Amino acid sequence: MAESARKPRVSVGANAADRARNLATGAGLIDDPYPKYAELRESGPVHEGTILGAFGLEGPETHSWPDRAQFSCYDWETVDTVLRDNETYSSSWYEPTLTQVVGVSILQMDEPEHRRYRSLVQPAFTRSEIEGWRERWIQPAVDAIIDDFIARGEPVDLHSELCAKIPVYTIASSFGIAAEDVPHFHELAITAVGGTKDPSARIQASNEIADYLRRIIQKRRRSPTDDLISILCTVEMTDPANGTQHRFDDDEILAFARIMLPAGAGTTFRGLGCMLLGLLQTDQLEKLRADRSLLGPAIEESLRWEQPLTSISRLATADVELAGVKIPSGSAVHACVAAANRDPSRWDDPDTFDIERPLKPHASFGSGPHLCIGMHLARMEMRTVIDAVLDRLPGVQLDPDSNDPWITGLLFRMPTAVPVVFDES
Amino acid sequence: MTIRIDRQQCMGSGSCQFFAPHTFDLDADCKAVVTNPQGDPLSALQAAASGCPTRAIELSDSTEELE
Repeated sequence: MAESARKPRVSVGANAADRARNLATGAGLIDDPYPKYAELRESGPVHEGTILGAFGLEGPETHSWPDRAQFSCYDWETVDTVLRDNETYSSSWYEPTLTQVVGVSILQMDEPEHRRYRSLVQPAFTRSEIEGWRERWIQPAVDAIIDDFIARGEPVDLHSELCAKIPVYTIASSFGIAAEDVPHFHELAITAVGGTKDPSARIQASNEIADYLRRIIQKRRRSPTDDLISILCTVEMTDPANGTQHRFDDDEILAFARIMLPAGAGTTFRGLGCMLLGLLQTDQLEKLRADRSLLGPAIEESLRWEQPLTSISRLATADVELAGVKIPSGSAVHACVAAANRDPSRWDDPDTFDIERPLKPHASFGSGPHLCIGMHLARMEMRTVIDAVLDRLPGVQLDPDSNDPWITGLLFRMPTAVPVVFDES
Repeated sequence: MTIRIDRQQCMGSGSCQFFAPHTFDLDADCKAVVTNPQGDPLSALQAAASGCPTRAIELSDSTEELE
């Protein structure tokens, strides 16, 4: 089908800022980046220039460090090397983008500082802790939304009405944010990291989030509960210089909380939407219906096949050679996880979505010391949503009367929609 | 199969526990421990070792160990 025949043009995003960012990073322009990735992998795997630049798009990648040399890599080996070697490839690339809007968070720290901070919060994100999150927040939220679908008994867009809501609701609940404030909070979180060049809207949104969270922090300092903010208020950090212990100050808690919002709310919903669409558009849904024990592997396969975020960026801290390409100290290096996830030297027939594929680590949560701290949470959210859709919406299938949805985007991947119909139960 | 965990390297991500849930667990210090070396098939152990973000897991063939 010709691109122009698809109506309407993509309008993906939770609000204006999100739409602006999605469009600026390839949504609606780049539907299938994978043939180009393959070309870049084979002719590289390391190239000078940014990933967006390779596709003829300018974007946030080049805005962050415009004065630096730019390199990108596109195979499993080089992407894994860059992400694991955080000493040579520094996360300080994220400093200009994030410091202003979220403060100094673990996302932009390097070792050993990164480990000192992360180890304090890591215990709150173990699989057993996340099981508790499911019971308290994820399952009730999913159930309430599905109840509403059943009561309405009409076609729904699972992407905007279910996938987009669960992760932000979960993170916000873990902060102790009141349920009625979550939609506004979602809007603010997206605006704070949105694609507008004018930083004032981002800073204003970020300040509003900070004001709200400060009030919660004050309450939790007085009387801690068992939510995430309480944990952040009570953990003690040892100063490596003199061995003294101190608690996080408000700014440290705010930075952590404010990075969690976009990290959790802006990624999982896209991955979930891609997975639902992938299942509904292929024969893989029947496989999963026939054998629900495939759900775990299916989630990993979906994350490999269509990851929400396609690249992670670093700054080289020394002159280094990567797959034969000399990278001068200070260069920006963009690791294309989406291309690594389709490296044919690691996966047979990598473009096929096959939930029975043998389980093997993918790069969608990154790798190395910055491996996504919320990965068990993301998996749990995906599992809970897919289980609920299959169990409670019998005969769920793509709405035959809707526009043919598809997955799009270059920096972020997302479905245009996941419109479904289902049988009355 | 012998499984070694470098506790200094381990960052407690729980990635090993995800790939080989019957072999690995996290202890009270949020460090990986082996609960049952025979708990999962070799492919799962290999996924756990290769997926470890800090390469803290070393697998070695027990027979080599004896030599």
